[in-house]
Amino acid sequence: MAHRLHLNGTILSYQRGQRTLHQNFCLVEIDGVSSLNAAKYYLGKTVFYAYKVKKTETNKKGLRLIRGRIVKTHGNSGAVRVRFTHNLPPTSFGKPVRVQLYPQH
Amino acid sequence: MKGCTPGQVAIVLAGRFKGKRVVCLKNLPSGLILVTGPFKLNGVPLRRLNRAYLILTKTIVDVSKVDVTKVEDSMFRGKKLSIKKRKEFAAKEEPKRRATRSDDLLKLQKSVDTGVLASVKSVKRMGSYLSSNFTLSKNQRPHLMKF
Repeated sequence: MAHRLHLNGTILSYQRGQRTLHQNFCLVEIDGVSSLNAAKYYLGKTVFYAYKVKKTETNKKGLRLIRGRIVKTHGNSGAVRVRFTHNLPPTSFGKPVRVQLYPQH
Repeated sequence: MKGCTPGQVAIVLAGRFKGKRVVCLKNLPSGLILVTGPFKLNGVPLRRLNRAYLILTKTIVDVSKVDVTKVEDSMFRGKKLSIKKRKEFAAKEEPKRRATRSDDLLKLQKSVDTGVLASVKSVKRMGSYLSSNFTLSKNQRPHLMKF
């Protein structure tokens, strides 16, 4: 039986002003988190963005992961800013991410 | 990061035993937490786990009679197989094997677990609680949960 130990979220966009993009930060909306105080629980937590590639011997699932950390809250409605080890491509906007429950403090 | 109180039940968040509920025994000097399943309940042996990957719950099992004072970090540092043995396994095309646990650890596992299991049995439903896995279901919000 599958057991979930993560929350699902969506990548909204890069952090941006109206005309300026800061591609090193992504804005993520986490399912069920809709307030600033709720989002504070997730600060520091690890996030994974997965994308598909061709299946090979070494990568049998055909998935590659980009790891990120929730760095800050964003706004009052529970969105967060995430910094990934590599900047995400714009094709990731609207795609799901997995927010882990670790690291715990 | 705060360590565990002895006997505290924790949820493992990552790694081979993710989702398991385990009993924390001791804070080791390396910063890791010594933990046991107990093995018969959920398959988690005496193991060191990183505090960052555990949710410590407020449930505490009485482990005052369990003696873990002699357990040290060095007992867990896995011995790598010698190059000769690794080549043997490679030649036979068997999957990679790690060195098995030392007899001392296996004995210690038994003695610790009998003590922990005794106190687990004295609490109603604690055994089935530790055997069960933690999982998040659809409308559960970790930020609202009280562990």
